Amino acid sequence: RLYMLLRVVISLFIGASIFLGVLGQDWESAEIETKTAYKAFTKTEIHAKVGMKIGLGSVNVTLKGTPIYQTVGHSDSVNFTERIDYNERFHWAWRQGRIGFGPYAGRINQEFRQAQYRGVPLPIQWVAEYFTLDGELIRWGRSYRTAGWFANQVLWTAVPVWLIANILSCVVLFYAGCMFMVTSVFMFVSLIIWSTIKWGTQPLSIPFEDGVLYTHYGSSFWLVVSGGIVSFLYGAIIAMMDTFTPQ
Amino acid sequence: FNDILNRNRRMDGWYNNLDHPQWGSPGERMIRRSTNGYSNGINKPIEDGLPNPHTLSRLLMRGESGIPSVTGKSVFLAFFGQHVGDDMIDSRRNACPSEYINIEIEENKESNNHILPMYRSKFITGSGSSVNSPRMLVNEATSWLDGSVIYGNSHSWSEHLRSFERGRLKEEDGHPGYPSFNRNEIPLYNPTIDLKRPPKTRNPEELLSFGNPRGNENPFLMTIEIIWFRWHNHLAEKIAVQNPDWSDQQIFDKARKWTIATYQNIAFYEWLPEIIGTSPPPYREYNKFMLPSVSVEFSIAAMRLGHSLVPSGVVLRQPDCSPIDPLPEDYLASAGEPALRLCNTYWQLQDALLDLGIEGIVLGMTSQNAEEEDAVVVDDLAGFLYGPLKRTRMDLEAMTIQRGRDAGLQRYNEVRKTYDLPPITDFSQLNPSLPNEVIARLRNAYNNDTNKLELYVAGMMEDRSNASNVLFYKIILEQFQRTRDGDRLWFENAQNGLFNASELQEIRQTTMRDIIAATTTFNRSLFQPNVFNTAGSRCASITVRKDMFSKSCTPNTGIDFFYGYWGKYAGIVVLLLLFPFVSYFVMCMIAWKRQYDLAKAKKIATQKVTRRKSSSQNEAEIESEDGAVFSAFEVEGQDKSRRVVVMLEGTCIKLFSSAGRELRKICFSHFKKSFLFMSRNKRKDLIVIRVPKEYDVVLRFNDSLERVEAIKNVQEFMQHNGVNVDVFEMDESALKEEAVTKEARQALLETFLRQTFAEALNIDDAVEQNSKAKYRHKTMEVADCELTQMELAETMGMKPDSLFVTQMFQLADTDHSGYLSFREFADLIILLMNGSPEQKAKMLFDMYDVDHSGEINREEGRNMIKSFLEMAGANLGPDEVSAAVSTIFKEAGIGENKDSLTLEDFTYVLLKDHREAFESSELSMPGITKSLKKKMNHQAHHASPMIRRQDTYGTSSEEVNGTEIRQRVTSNSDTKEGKSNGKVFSDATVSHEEKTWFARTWKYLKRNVENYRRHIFCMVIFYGITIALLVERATLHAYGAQHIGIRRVTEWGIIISRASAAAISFHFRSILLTMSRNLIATCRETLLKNLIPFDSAVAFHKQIAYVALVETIFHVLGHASNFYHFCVHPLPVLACLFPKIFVDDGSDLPKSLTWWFFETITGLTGVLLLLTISIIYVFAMQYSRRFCFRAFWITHHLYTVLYILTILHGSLGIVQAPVFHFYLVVPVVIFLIDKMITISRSKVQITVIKAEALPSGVLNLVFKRPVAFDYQSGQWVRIASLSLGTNEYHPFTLTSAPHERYLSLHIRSVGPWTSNLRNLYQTAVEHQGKLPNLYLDGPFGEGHQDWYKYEVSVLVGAGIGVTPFASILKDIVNRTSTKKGSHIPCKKIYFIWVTRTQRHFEWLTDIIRELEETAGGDLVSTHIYITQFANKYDLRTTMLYICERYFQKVANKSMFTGLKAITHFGRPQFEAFLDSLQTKHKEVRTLGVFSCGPPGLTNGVEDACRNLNKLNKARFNHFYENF
Ligand SMILES: Cc1cc2nc3c(=O)[nH]c(=O)nc-3n(C[C@H](O)[C@H](O)[C@H](O)COP(=O)(O)OP(=O)(O)OC[C@H]3O[C@@H](n4cnc5c(N)ncnc54)[C@H](O)[C@@H]3O)c2cc1C
Ligand code: HEM
Ligand code: HEM
Repeated sequence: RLYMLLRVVISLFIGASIFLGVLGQDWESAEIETKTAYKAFTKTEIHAKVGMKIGLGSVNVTLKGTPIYQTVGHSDSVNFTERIDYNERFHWAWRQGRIGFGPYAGRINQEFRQAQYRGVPLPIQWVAEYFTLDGELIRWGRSYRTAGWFANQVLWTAVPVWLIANILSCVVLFYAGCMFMVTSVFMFVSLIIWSTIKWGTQPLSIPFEDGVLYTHYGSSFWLVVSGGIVSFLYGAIIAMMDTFTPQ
Repeated sequence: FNDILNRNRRMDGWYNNLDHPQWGSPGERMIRRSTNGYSNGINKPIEDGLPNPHTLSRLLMRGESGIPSVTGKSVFLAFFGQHVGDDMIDSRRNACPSEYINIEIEENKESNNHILPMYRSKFITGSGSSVNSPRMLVNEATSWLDGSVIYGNSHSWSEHLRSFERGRLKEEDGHPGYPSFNRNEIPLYNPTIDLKRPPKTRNPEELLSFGNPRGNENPFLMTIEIIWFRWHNHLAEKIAVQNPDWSDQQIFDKARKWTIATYQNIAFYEWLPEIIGTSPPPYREYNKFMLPSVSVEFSIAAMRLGHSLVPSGVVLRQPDCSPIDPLPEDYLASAGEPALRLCNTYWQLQDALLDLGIEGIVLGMTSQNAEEEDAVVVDDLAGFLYGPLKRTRMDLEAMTIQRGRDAGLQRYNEVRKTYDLPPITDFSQLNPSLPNEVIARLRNAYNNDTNKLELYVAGMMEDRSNASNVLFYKIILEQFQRTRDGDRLWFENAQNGLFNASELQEIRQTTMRDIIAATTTFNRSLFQPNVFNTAGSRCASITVRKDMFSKSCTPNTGIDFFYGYWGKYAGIVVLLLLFPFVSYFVMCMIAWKRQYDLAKAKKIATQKVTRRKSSSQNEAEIESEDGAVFSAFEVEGQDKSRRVVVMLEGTCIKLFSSAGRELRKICFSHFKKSFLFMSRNKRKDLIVIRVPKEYDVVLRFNDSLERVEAIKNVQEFMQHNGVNVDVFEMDESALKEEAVTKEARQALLETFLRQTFAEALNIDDAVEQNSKAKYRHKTMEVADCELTQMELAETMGMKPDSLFVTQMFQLADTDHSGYLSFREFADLIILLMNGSPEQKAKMLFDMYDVDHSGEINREEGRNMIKSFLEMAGANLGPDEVSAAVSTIFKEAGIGENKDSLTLEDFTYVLLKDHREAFESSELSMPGITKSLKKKMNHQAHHASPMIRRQDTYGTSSEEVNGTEIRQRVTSNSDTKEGKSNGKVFSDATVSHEEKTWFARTWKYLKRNVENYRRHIFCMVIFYGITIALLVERATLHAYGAQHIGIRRVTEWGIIISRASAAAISFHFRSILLTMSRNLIATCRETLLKNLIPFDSAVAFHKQIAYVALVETIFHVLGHASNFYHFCVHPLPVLACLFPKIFVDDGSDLPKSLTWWFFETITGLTGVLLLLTISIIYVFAMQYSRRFCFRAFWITHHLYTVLYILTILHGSLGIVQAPVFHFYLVVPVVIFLIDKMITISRSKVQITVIKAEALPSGVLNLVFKRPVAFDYQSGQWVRIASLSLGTNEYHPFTLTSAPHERYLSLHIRSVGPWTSNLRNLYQTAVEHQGKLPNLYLDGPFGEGHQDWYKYEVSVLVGAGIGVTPFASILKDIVNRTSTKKGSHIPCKKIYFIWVTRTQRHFEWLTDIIRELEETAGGDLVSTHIYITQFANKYDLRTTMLYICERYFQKVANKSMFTGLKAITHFGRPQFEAFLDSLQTKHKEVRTLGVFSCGPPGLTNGVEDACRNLNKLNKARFNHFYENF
């Protein structure tokens, strides 16, 4: 019973790590606290946390005031206390599109243009704008789109493999073990893809007044890493056990 | 801090206007002051009736250069103008999809360098598509005068220019005061080729990073950019010093604010008046409703008047005004003394600037007069502008004119009207100072119609003496005013609070000279106060003319993108074509190797036996001291020979097989003459020993030495026997011709037999007639031909020493010559055929009266019975034989006491009940049946007794008796059937052909349509979907997706390749479903089977594969053509089509062919796919499956690779978002689940309980039945042997019945696997070892489970198709005999077994026998049809047939098969047969007919059923399965 439970838990963990990986928004992230301009037409700067969470298909940009409520100049004379807590998502899944912001442009370019019309806070625009540029080696949009696309493809492939592995573990243990290892291979491949497909030589860094947003691998990434390792070990152990002790 | 406000002048120009946040931002539409001038009013460039732009440029815009500006405009003004223009305008992006507006160079028409390539400009998406919204260009720059050329026009761009230290812009390391090289690789235009590595584009790192994407265009523009760059840093430094506690951001903001303000001031109040000759009106206030957008009149025409100011070169000066002469090394490459030549410095000299500084250039620019502001443009622009790789030298003026037409600029006069200027009515009004001939040219070009005059052409030629009448000035001023007044952040706008009054004053007083002084090392006093005019310059202006230069502009070097690729193209095609050939070659090698190994293995095995044999032979030799033994090869025919051991012993030459079996024996007791032939050339290793009546002994030896030895032996032997030998020597070829080999002999024998039969039966054999004519000379031989006993046995397919053969031979060989002559043989046959019953009986009696005592004693009787049984392959114990003999004796009325039968007794026994049978027994012969067939066809369905009488050639006695269909002597023969009065017509016939070709074809077609309606239904659906997909993709790319533009680039290629890709996707997905065996096995049990012919899955699989192959070929051809197009179209075109993989960097250079094929995922996987497919297909060929099945099976699993590659193949989504995986998902899931079921089942080891080697190489395996293994009779399984590789599965039909405890298979050895399996189990059995276990997968396939639902069922099996019935029959017996069977309706089953020769399925007879022996046996009535007989005279079959008829009663079963079943010869006549069933089973309304075998058979049954069903009598439901 305990053994069964353990198996179920391990397998569920692997599955969860795949799903959370595919759907997760935190493959890379960055956050800083900074003074920053906030909106056009005013003089006031705000203090806020600017954050960025990159998933396979989109980037989430957050702006959270510290404190959340701040007095922001509305015009020279009128001040308001505003709640500064924004979270905007920009998708690049999966079209690159033509250069520019028109109907044939990539999705993120169009969403960025929409955001400009909506007038989202400036820091959010600045961050998002980085993903709309596409020339020479400044191609973060392209990099993340491509990497995300392939990582996404590969990771989704891991899902059926994992399912098969589960079904097989009720049938032929040895094959189940192999399948778990294959699952992990897919997971690792997606990680490798994610971390290697980059145009340009420089990491994404977005300067703000008090600091620079440097991205680093986030929880989704590490979850997939751990899921992959667990899956590999689990598969190897099962396969080994099956070959050496047939019962 | 007010400075923060300045930050709100965003880099991208957004949020300047409060109500229209996007106003002035990049990507906004331009505006048009006048109406549009498109020739169709919407989007068509104006062309009709207008002169060629290049011609215009050549005729009107060239002329004497080096005329200095009369108003004293400086070169600095010209290049500053370029700077300002770049700040406000960027319309040089191309429209997507690319539209060409190439300019024809008329004078070059003959040469192939006659095109100036041009594309239409990017326009607002949606405009220009209908009448109310004419096409409008896009401006990619901010319309504001906001220094976006300094800082870039996006936030992130600007951040790449910053150093983030003390508010400065980033400087190149080691070169303070210069921007860094473009290491961040911001998206600068980079149109030039690398001179060092043509035609590669230049490394972007060689460019300097500016805010202006085109900042590197020429060194003079770069100089101005650098001045502004330094100015920012200068201010930043100042601010930083003043405010040590400020952050970088604050400093940057403030420095930028000041830079922009001074820039605005200088551009507007210093530069603008100089260029338009008048001062703009002073600033009043911010006008929020003023639209700043750039007008096309301004951007496409007026602002380009600066072209005329640009000189061919700039003289660089030292602080003392003297020209830098000679120019430093770094400049020399692109220069001529003493000036820096423009045409040779486009996009160059970055390094030189950094090393040599900009001061000399600045001083040169400020002190040199610009070109006169007229229509004349220097060659550097008009003829030697940089250009794309296709044409490296362009004509700026022609391009500008064309651009105006592209933008739909209104004509000059119209525009004048919109700007409140009077239109001109005559060309001479345009500019009085123009020479007459120029006016004449102009007049000529525009057909003397001033209303046709184009804006740019006329604008350039305008009379500029009165500034207020100059259209271009008006346009420019209007634009600048709007830009200023609409700018909320304009430095003078007091409301924005950017600057206070004193600061404003400071800004207003900052002149360009101040800035130059602050940013260069040259003394301020070197520069005149207004650097835009040379007036007051300390250095005298130097006029630069093109003849001054020591170097002329480098000429045009257009490259052909595809140049040098044809070889590669051919190479790639050859490579791709090589794939199938190489894999074919490899496949053949493997097949060949396997055949070779097999042969070797066989040889080794035989050698072992030979060795064993020969050692025993040696012992024999010692015993017969006069005998000699040697080994040789007996040549049996053209390329057939066998290894034999020749023994000369006594009077006989004996040939043994290497296994020690006696093959031939030739005894010389009867004759004293023979011939010996020897070959005398080639290897001299052949001898032929000719003896009368027999075929020659043709022996080949390993070498001539061995032969010498052998000949010696033979001659001695002959001498010894007193045989007279004639020895001949002849050439080997002649010898071969001469020798009568076994093959030749057999051909002869066949004729012999035919003729014998023909004579015996009075048949006029047409074939025989033919051959008679052909081989007339052979007939003689036939008459001479004599049969040995060995040959007789062989023709009968029996052992030569069997009693039957021996007795028969001796009986027939009346002259005891040891040979049967033609006559003797014919007599025998005639007797058997036509003799009276008594004669026949006597013959048999004589045969078995071995001692010629005239009586058959018990021993002889036993031998007789045994011999019959032996013939039938049946086995009875001695007791049973004795019992049978006793029965005979008893029947003869002879008691236990008497021991022998006389002839009378014997005849009595035989003829007592069966006289008629003996009389009527004849042979069914093709010749005879033909004449009767027509009648039969007419009357078949009411087969009258009369006809039947006539037809009963091979019918058994019951016809005559009118009782039973199968006669039995056994007590159970008088069952209920016996009482039924029906008769079954079970005759054999030979099918006939339709008369005409048409009728045949029609019948064939009709039959096929009827038989394959399910197939046709599925095909229609399947190919319907395929065609729908094809058409959908094709129309999409032909019509629907025009806006993507790929169609225009690739012509037909894209339609073909995409359409076929869709079909490929569909086919490759469907192919998986055809191999989901468990699914199919399950589905075929459901109602779906009426719609889908599941049994044809494999055939369908192959068909899909082949069609997919054709589609693949189309796909590849399509893309091969596409790739060609992709390689010859310039980059901008491709960048439009494939934004995912290309970016238009201005360089024009497309990717190479090899890049497409080998460096894109799509291309590379495509190539790999082709390789994979080649392997899969080649190894799936019939040949390969026949000879190297393993290799087929292994390579076939590359399908996984194929799928993975295909997914990767599309994953890049170059043309469209990948779709293949959508196609694939469902089938893959189904297939995987299916596979999993298989795996789960097949990983269980199955214990084999019994393995038995049956005759004819059949292995019977009996093994444990796994738990929960449910199957129906007739289904098949796949097995793998643990000892032969656990992955190699082979399909076999189960021959056990579902009720049985164990499963059994009958496996016939045909190839390596089955042979190995047989060996494996044989050795295991021999050594009493453990029987190796199996893996089992299944069951698959349809069970004929409905037979028991009918009262009467007919089962028809033919050829291999009979295997399922083995199981079914057992099942039947079980069900009917057990209690649970008592309530099933089935009352009678007819099993019809059609086989070429019964020998092939001997094991089935065992099963049938078993069946007959069980209680339920009565239920089944079996008819065996041996078809071979009808076309081949198999003596054995004939003999058996005769014996069968005679002796069935005696042994209580068929002598032939050992069965109670009746054997027929010929093909069954289903219609007559089924019809007679109707009569026999009158009370039965519906009969089931189940057939299984080749299509020919099932079709026949189907026809018969359909014909009978028309008669409205009983109904026949036919179910069939094709094997
Ligand atoms: C549905 C079905 C039922 C069958 N039932 C019987 C049966 O009851 N008794 C019987 O003796 N034979 C049966 N066969 C045929 C039997 O499967 C082949 O004779 C056997 O696989 C030959 O293998 P081999 O390696 O010895 O011969 P090879 O020399 O390798 O091949 C001989 C022939 O068999 C075919 N073959 C070889 N391997 C396979 C395989 N794995 N799957 C399919 N075809 C193969 C080859 O194409 C070739 O034409 C059946 C075949 C099918 C398709
Ligand atoms: C490239 C196209 C093809 C693909 C993707 C493909 C795929 C497959 C698959 C998935 C199987 C089942 C394998 C299994 O059960 O493990 C199979 C079996 C088979 N394929 Fe193909 N196949 C292709 C082409 C062909 C061709 C061209 C032929 C021959 C004409 C062929 C003949 C067969 C046969 C005979 C089997 C069945 C073998 C058996 O039942 O034992 N296939 N194929
Ligand atoms: C050298 C040979 C080949 C070349 C150059 C080639 C090229 C291409 C190209 C350019 C595309 C469009 C891809 C995209 O839109 O991103 C494509 C799609 C496709 N090709 Fe090929 N191909 C080749 C061989 C093959 C082969 C052998 C197959 C057969 C399996 C194949 C099957 C497909 C399929 C199914 C698609 C559609 C993929 C999808 O939409 O997901 N191709 N091919």
